[in-house]
Amino acid sequence: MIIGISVLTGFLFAAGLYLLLHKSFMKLIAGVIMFGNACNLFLLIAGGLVGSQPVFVSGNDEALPIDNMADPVPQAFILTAIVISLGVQAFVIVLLKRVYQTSNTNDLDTLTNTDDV
Amino acid sequence: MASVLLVIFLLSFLFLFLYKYIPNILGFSGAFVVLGIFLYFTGYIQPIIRGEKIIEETVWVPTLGMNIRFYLDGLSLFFALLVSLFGSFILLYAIGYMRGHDKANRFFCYLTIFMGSMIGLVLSDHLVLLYVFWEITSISSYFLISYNNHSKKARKAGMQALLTTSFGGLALFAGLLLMAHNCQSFHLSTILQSEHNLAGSGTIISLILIGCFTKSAQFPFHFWLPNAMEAPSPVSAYLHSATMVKAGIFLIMRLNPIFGDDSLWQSSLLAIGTISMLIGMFKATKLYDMKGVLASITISTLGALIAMIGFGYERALQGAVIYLLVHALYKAALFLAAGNIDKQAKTRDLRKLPAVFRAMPYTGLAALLACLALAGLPPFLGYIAKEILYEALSENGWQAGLFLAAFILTNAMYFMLALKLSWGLFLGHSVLPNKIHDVGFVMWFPAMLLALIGIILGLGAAYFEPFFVSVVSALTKRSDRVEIDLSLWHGINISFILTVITWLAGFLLYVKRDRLVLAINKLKLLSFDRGYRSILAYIRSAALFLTRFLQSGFLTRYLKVIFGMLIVLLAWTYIEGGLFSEIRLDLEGDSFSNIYGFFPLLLIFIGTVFVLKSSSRLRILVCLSLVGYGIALLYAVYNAPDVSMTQFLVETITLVIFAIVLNRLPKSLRFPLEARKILIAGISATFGIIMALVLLSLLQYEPNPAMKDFYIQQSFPKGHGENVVNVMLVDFRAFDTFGEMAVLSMTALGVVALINLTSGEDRF
Repeated sequence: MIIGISVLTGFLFAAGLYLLLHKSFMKLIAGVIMFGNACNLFLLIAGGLVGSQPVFVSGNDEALPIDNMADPVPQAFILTAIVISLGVQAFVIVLLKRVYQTSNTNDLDTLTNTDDV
Repeated sequence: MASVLLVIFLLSFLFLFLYKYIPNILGFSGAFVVLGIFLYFTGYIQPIIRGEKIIEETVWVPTLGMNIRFYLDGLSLFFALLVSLFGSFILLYAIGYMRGHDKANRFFCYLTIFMGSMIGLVLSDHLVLLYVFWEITSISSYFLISYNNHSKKARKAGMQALLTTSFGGLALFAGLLLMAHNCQSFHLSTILQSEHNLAGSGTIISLILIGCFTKSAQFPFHFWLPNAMEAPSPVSAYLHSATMVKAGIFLIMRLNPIFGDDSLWQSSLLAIGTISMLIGMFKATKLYDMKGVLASITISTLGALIAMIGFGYERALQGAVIYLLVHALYKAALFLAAGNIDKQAKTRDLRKLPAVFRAMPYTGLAALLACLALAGLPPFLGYIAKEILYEALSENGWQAGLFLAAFILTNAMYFMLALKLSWGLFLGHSVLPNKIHDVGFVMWFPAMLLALIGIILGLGAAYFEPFFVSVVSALTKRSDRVEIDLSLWHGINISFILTVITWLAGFLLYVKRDRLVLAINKLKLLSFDRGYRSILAYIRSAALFLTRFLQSGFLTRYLKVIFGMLIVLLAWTYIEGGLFSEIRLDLEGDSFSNIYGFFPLLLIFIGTVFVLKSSSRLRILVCLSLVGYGIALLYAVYNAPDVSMTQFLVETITLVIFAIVLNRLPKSLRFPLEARKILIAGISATFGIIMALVLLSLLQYEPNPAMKDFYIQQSFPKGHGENVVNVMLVDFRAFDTFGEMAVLSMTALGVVALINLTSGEDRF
């Protein structure tokens, strides 16, 4: 199963990059989102998928079943990363909408200098 | 000695700010201050003759071992005297020459900065300090050559000199650093004393010699010096004949005790020196621009000096030192005279010049005396220098004999040029244009004085013998002092016969001079100037190409380059580490093989495929959400409920924002051409494969549970929370989360601002 997720993550990376390399705005946005998702998955798997239950502890419990628990460190990292990628996605969407409105072009390669905007 | 430099640099600032208001007072007092510095240095003559070596140190950056350290021995004192004496003469001359010039304050400022750095250069003991002064002389030379900044030619000449000398400067810097590294010391005095055997270190020698050859305008870097004659005459006299171009010679002399026994050192000095000597001489015969002729003779003479040092035995070194002094004296005098004629007759072309001797008697006399020194006639010091060199060369092997023949030819040419200059210019009968009269006292006096010093030194040479002995002793490793015989008459010996031959040959060449020029014109000498220009053009177009390639402005190209590099690096690391063979697909403890895990995978896969294939905006949006929610489900399956929840939220927010602006985004989705598509698909696929491989190899490692255990154990006691991931975010890594909040707020502000901008306002 983990093998499957790893391969899928690679596929997500490839798809994200493929979309990023297009000249269309819409595909660029899709690429950014896809790439962000791939990175988060990468973090989760690279951090090591261990344990079989979520990381909840109880104050009363003296002997914690640590070995059964998932690793909280990658999860905390991914949480941060997800939120930041939300910021990036929102900004990219609005920015490209703005660029399209002002420059009226849908070709990234025509945006090579600031004079036309 | 640090105070001397301080005084000179202070003077340069005074010139810059006050010259406009009190030009004469400042000019004369400046010249006297520099003369005072000369007198100050003469005070060191006696201790140096006694064989003392003086080291002065001022603390600057002691932690880096960088102190302002000066080292005074015969050689540096000789150059310091030369620079300061000539400096005062040139300042005096420049008062007259620059009168009425716009921005003359800058000129004096640069000139004094040069003077200070040149004195600093010859006195430096610390190699880095020496290099710094070396570069300041290059830079001030650049400013002085292109002083007349309205002329394109002057600007180009300045840039050429700067580029050439600073190219050499960099080579020199590398050489000096290597030398310091090998000798474990940055102090010249220590390196000169040490027993480190640097002979045989070819890299150091070639790097240092490149620096010296560019500075002294030696083959193949000789092209910049004739062009540098665009500078005002005081600059040509001071920088480009008497002092700066001799900095290279100074360094060669300075390092001769270390490298003197090395065959590479000797042979390259000999070869380059001889070639430059001959090239400069031929060039001088061809030219008609008076300053151009003088500059070419400078190249030739400097080449002769370098070859002399290459021979390395005492007589040759003695001859070199005296010849250097002689050259500085007569060449500066001739340049000053040329400046005077240029100023009065408004031309430097030898063919157009009238016989100015009668109109300008003082200038004429000074130039005539200097020409006699150039011709090497008695009782000038030039005669003595030549005698010594002839004697030195005639006593040694075949190489010396060969060089002697070339040297005699060169000297005969000098004799011819001296005759041509003095006869044609000053004594010939040409029509005198009206209204040419001689320049003022301050302008002819320095030239006359320089020429006269040549005679005084020639007649009273015996008096200066001990000083020259101590100068020459700094040039060799051997400690015994070899006496110099500086008397004018030795009786009829071989060197006297050679001198007579030189004179006769020179006279003969003068008679046949027209045919000679024709013959030399037939010799198609390589144009190094053109070579310089084409190298420059090549560098420029290469830089342009590189910039256009790397900074194309196309986002897709940047991405391709970045990811291409990433692929190469990752693949290289992967193959280098042999990680491929470590991958095992039958992992133990894969506890996630349940049907719930399979479902989100399918969701994600289908969503991605549809995003790639779809050409409708709405369908892309929906499929992207599908992928996002699929990943959220995946997190839920793999025991990360918080992450899963956040992913759901984020996905929803993105969906909302996207939906708001979807209508305003371009409809057409523009598919790239097929060829391009294959290329980017190839890059993406390779990248995806490599990332998957990296993940697979990461899976082979058991993660270290130390951090996991710490957070789980400390979560309740320290953070008073049961959800460990949450406790980490708001407690253990609270500042991190705080920063994240700041980032999100900024993004929110940006998003709101971009949405609210109406199209009328963005024409800001």
